[in-house]
Amino acid sequence: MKRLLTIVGLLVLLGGVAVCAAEDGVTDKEVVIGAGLDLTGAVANWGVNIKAGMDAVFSRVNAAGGVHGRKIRLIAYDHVYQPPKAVTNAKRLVERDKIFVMMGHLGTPTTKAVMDYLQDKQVPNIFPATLASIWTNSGKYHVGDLATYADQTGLIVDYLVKERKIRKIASFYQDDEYGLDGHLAGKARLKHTHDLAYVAEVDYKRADIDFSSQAAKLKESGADAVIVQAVYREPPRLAEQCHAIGYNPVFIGPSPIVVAKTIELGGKHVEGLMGVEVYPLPTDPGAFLDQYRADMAKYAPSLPIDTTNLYGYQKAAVFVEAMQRAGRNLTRDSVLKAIESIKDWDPGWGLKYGYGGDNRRGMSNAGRLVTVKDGKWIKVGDWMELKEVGRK
Amino acid sequence: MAAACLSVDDLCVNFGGLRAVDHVSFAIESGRIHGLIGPNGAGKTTIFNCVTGFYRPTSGRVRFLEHDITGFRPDQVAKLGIARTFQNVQLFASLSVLDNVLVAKHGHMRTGVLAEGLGLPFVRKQEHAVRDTAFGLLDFLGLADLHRKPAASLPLGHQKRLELARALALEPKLLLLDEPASGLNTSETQALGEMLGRVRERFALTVLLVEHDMGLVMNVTDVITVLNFGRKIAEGTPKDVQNDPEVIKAYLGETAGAGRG
Amino acid sequence: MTEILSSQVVSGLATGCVYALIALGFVLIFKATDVVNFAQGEFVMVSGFISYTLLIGLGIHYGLVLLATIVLSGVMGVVLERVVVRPIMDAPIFSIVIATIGASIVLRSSAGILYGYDVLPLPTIFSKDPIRVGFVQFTAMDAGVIGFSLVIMVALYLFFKLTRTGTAMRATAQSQTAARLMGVSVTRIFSLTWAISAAIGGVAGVLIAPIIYLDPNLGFIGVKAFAGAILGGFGSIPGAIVGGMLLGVIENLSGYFFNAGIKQVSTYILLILVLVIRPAGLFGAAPIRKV
Ligand SMILES: Nc1ncnc2c1ncn2[C@@H]1O[C@H](COP(=O)(O)OP(=O)(O)OP(=O)(O)O)[C@@H](O)[C@H]1O
Ligand SMILES: [Mg+2]
Repeated sequence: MKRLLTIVGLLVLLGGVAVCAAEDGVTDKEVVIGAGLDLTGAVANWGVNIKAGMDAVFSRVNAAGGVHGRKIRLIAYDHVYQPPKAVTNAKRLVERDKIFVMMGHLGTPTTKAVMDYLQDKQVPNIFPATLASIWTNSGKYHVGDLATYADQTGLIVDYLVKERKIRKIASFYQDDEYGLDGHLAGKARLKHTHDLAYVAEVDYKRADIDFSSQAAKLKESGADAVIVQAVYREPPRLAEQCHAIGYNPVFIGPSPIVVAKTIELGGKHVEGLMGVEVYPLPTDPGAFLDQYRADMAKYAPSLPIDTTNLYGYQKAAVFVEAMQRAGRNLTRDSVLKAIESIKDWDPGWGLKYGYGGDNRRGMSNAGRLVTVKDGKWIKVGDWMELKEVGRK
Repeated sequence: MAAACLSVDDLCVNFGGLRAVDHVSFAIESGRIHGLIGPNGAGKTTIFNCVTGFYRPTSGRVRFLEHDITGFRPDQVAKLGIARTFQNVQLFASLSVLDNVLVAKHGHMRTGVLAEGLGLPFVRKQEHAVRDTAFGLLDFLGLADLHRKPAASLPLGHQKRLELARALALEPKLLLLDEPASGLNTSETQALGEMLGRVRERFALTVLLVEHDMGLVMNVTDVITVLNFGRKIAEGTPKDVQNDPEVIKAYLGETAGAGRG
Repeated sequence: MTEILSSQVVSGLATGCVYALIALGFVLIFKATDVVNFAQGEFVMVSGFISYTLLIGLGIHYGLVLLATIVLSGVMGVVLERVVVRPIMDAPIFSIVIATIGASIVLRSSAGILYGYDVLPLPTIFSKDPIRVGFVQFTAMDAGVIGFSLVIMVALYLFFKLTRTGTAMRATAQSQTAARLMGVSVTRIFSLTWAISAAIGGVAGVLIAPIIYLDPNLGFIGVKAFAGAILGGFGSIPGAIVGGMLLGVIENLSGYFFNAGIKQVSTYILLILVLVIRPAGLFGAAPIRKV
């Protein structure tokens, strides 16, 4: 009897250990990945396309048998670009759907809202679809991927002051974690590197529908260039309203504005708009991009190839590489370690990803300037290594 | 018996447990002024509401000329030619005196919203004719000078006359008047009595009159139906009714001073 | 300074006119039927998509599109009244209001399913190029929006004041009982009221969608317009117009003098101030008890 009890006890203990050892979201045949995206709200263009890009990679990988025999299943919920909804969704993904990792979570304010929760639950927040600098310095569970808005704004400020010899620069920014990241970095860069200050700091809210007061303030400041820390909806309308009052500065902003939608919405008013690109254009040459175009044609034929879906596509591609490296024994720790093992890795587009140590910024900080010419985004400069800029 | 203009057959109306009208039947001959009297709560207004389509009777039928109008909607009843005034004046308070009358003419115009909006000539012609009749009515009732004023700004006596003008504008065959004299002083009431006589002459109307002012009722009506607690207790000429013991019993105490003036 | 301020006022008026149109729709339905129709903003959104489809999808001439959009929007109002509101007209007002909220969700989701949630540019005949009159600078778009809105408002005024149907509608709003008795078919008046409200919402949609772009969430502009209607005194037609316009101007000026945060709450600060000083709103009559 006593022996029996001991055996039962041991079994229970072992069972417990075994349960603990198996990560949430990983079985012999499957890995479940979660994403919180805006599919129906203000930045739905990004959300829908990021999901399509990620799905394209996973579909191709699954069709070829998965990663180490495991198929990848992506569960995406719509947070409508609203932080409280993002939190509800994250809880649902972690606690009910038992996801392995969160991936490609969209939006700075929304991802910031779920940051502490994911940290508490020790669910890695991989390649969130926000390039705020916070993802590059918030510990091991948060892994950013491309050049941050802060870094990009540094590039913008240097370009305006050094190349264009513009000294009167204004900032037009979204009044939330997203807009402030670049806004504050630009302020620091102006001050420390160029001994300058913004001539005007004009904010807007995501729900704003009229920018004429912002346009008036910018015009009054006499700024020759306006840095737009915005997404694709705002630069066209700001430009229209500035032009309406006879004000034509250089408009320039970070990567979220570099999408086809900006041109579709703004038409002639966004001719000459400049932006920073942190990964190649979907039309650029390269084996990786060929694969991307083929996958999109096959798995998302209704969507045109665009910066937005390429963004999701490259995230998924790097993640698959990390899972390959993690091997058959897949745990959250092993996949995080695998990501850190990526160094000088080029998926096939001439730009390299590299992690390591405290560097949680995936691709080699690359950025280049682009502009709208004849209704198309074209490159102005070459790829540059961006220096890290703090917010101080 | 001459052709009945309105006949109410075996009408019953229940409100929850309360039987407000209890198997009431009566008929009004065309061209008559018919009185409907009874103490407060006898069911007079309820019968009006059944005739004009605001209430659906629990049982029984209402016939108007050759139509069975039981369960008709108020606007259908109005279009057939029954108009009424209310115990509590129901004017369109902020509309002008003239507009109040013009609303009644709404159903008489054979135009669509679109034609109206475009101001087509035939519409305008109709419009002029309608305005002329409306002014004629206001003139007849001595309200023509006030036609621009909002209805609510008129004193009660004028409001009651306006309500009458509006009812007449429907060109009704049957006019139901619910306590037209309430709130009026003696001379106004007298004037009203004369007015009713002229109205009947000029418009060849049948009138059903609910009134607490016995002087007025006895003066102008041809036949009177008396109700008490929802039931018909007497019917006949003013003289017959006045001497009916049932009626005296029903009214006892009321005439002593509880009546409403 | 005056130059900038005056253009601020003009562009604020343009947005305000659109608020005013939507607010008018709220008030018309409320006056006639006591229902606050929370799907009012959805008329704006749906009409945006209607004109988008006609213009881009079918390539119809702009003038025709404008006309067709207004008519179709009116038809949508009638259908909504028929299908959603009339069957429950005897239910408590609260239930009807909830039903309109339900309808707005259905319309928004349907638009999302049909067109996706992406923002779409809606072409317009009004150019966004600057115009200068004296020292006031504005766009043809601003002028067009203001002008078109004013035309609609004047037309509505004349309709209500001069036509028989308009008079009947005003009468119904005052006393349904008496209107019925005058042979006015109140159900027909209700239909017509919904049609007109939806059609004005349609006009608002055609005017605003080219400015702030088209997406299924466009209807949320109704919330602002609702605030405008309350500001003016809910139930008052001049109140809706002045309230809406005032809101547009105040928003713009507060954005100019302060920042985006203040601009966002300026609406509500103004609303609270007005309601504290005049609880019935700017033009609202003190509540009258019906006898
Ligand atoms: N809608 C209703 N719901 C419930 N009860 C009602 C309703 N309408 C009338 N009643 C009741 O029916 C009875 C008859 O009312 P009615 O108004 O017909 O009386 P009346 O003869 O017109 O009285 P008065 O001389 O006071 O006007 C009353 O007891 C009244 O309370
Ligand atoms: Mg009565």
